[in-house]
Amino acid sequence: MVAQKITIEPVTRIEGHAKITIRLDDAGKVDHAYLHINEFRGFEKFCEGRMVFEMPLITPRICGICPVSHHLAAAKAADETLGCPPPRPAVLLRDLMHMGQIIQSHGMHFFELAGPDLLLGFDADPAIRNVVGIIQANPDLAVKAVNLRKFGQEIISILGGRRIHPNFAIPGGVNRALTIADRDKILANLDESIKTIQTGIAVMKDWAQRNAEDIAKFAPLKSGYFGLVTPNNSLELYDGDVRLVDVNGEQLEKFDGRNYLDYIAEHVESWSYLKFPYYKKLGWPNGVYRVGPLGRLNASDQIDTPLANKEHKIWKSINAGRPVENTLYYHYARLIETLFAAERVSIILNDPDVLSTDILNTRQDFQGVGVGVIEAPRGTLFHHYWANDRGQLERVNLIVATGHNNWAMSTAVDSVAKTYITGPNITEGMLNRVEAAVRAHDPCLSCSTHAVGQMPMVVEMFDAEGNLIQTVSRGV
Amino acid sequence: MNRPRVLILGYGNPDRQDDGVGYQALIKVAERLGRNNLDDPYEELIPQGLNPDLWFDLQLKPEMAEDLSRYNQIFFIDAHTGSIPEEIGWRELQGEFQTSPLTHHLTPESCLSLTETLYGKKPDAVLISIRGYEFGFTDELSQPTRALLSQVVDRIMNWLNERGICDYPA
Repeated sequence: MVAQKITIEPVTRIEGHAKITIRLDDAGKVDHAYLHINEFRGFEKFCEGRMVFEMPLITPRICGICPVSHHLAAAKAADETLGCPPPRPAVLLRDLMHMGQIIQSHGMHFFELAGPDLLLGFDADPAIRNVVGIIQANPDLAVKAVNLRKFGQEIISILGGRRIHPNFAIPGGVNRALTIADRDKILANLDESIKTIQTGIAVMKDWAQRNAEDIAKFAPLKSGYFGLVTPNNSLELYDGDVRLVDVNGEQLEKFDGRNYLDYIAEHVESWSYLKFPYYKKLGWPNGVYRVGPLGRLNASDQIDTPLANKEHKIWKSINAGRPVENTLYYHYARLIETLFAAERVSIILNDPDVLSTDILNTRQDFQGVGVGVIEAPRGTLFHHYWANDRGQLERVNLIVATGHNNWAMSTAVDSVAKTYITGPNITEGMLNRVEAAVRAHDPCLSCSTHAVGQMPMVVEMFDAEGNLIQTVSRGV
Repeated sequence: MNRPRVLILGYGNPDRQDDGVGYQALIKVAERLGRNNLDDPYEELIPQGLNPDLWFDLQLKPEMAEDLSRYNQIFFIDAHTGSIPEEIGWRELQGEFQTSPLTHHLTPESCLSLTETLYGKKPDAVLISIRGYEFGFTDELSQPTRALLSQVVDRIMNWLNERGICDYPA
């Protein structure tokens, strides 16, 4: 039998697009759906020859909307390469900037990108299935959501000193201390932000209760879970060891991120430029795992802030203590992490060291190799540098969060297509669900370019004879 | 004479060649307005209460909606791909929220929609798009896109001059 096929194609070389191919069988049912990531960016190669201290400024340009994660991971890798661990106040300030990034990125994802699907329904009229529909349903919440994102951006901009491409973390620390006035400015908006996040959580939980059936059949995947944790296995986003748990939540590994190459290998498929990382000891595909909010909450035992920990306990009860497998629960996990980030902002700003001017370690003990690991909003980010004795990079390896989740996104698309697509024609609601399977992971595909006329997603469906029977593309 | 408050908002990634044409357009407009002493254009191309105000960012964001509500006329400037036949697009916009399926940026129509819904303002808006030919890792525009840039700047300046808008306080 020749399978039918549906495809989603990029228009040009520019980023921010994916292609989905759906093959139908003789009966018109989905035989298999593929998510193809067609970007090849070559960033690692073009960093070769640059000085290691330049990396915190070069790598944020990978992405337009979340440069902070690359900025900080690069600084951490440079600290190690040059042998200059930052003093505690600098670590606190980097952590604070990271929390700003988590708040703005997660906030935008829930309220502006994913929220309309959830709150207004996948089958709702596209004319209202958007954030404006949410605004009309709840104008007060919408303004607060915009303010929440602004709050996160303001933390980044206060510390980074710039609106675009922050110049803050440098090898050995940071280049700017926090003033009392700036600390108080951030604190002034904190309580309101926490309330907004809690409102979002209430909305999410109410939606989950009313849509339990849809959640249960929407890409429930068996996998491992991967994320940074503290020494007592609490959620950690800035620093810590990597913890990997299995499908039952049992710990497989807990390791220093520097040694990631001992644990992670990458599988290649001919239909995607993006590699598929997996846990080496279990091999491919048994060693697949998920990262990002769902991965992190499943990989951690608790959260060290009270409000987020209360939600984490509820999270753990969803599947009776076992990992939460349902893809749509990424959204709930994302909001719990946003709450943690806001609480963490309060903890950091009330730490006496946060106003210290001891922010830079200028003594270096050159190592030549360094790994920086951080939990970017969408998952674990590794920067690994090898430098010659002049500090010039000879090799760079980056493993980005979207790469870790490549298997999860591809499998979720296949699962959702098989569950919801029937017959030769794709309806708006079916397409929305396939999109939502990818969007739940909040992938970065990336945002670094986005020209008018770009088609981020094109779906092509092929029949059992291999004939193209339908193409659906989404502009924007 | 009642002069409209004008915002020219260029966006894109200046490190990705023609994707930065909106940024380059703002630099040229600033020069033509006599604002040619920009030490740090990334930071200085922000609303400053001038008319026209010039604003650069990597992409459009939801929180821009509040700022947009303060203007009568907005020009968005972006690159466009070969899927649009014209070399230069000059299209009037209406607010319409469009959800991007996989990425994080907003369209100008979406920003306008937020401005209208959240702040009750409906500025006139035009999307000026310029054909991008190369999206490589450089901050220099390709030759064909560079050639289009001066036409766009001329057209913007004519529009401003016809309405007597040239660095008047807002």
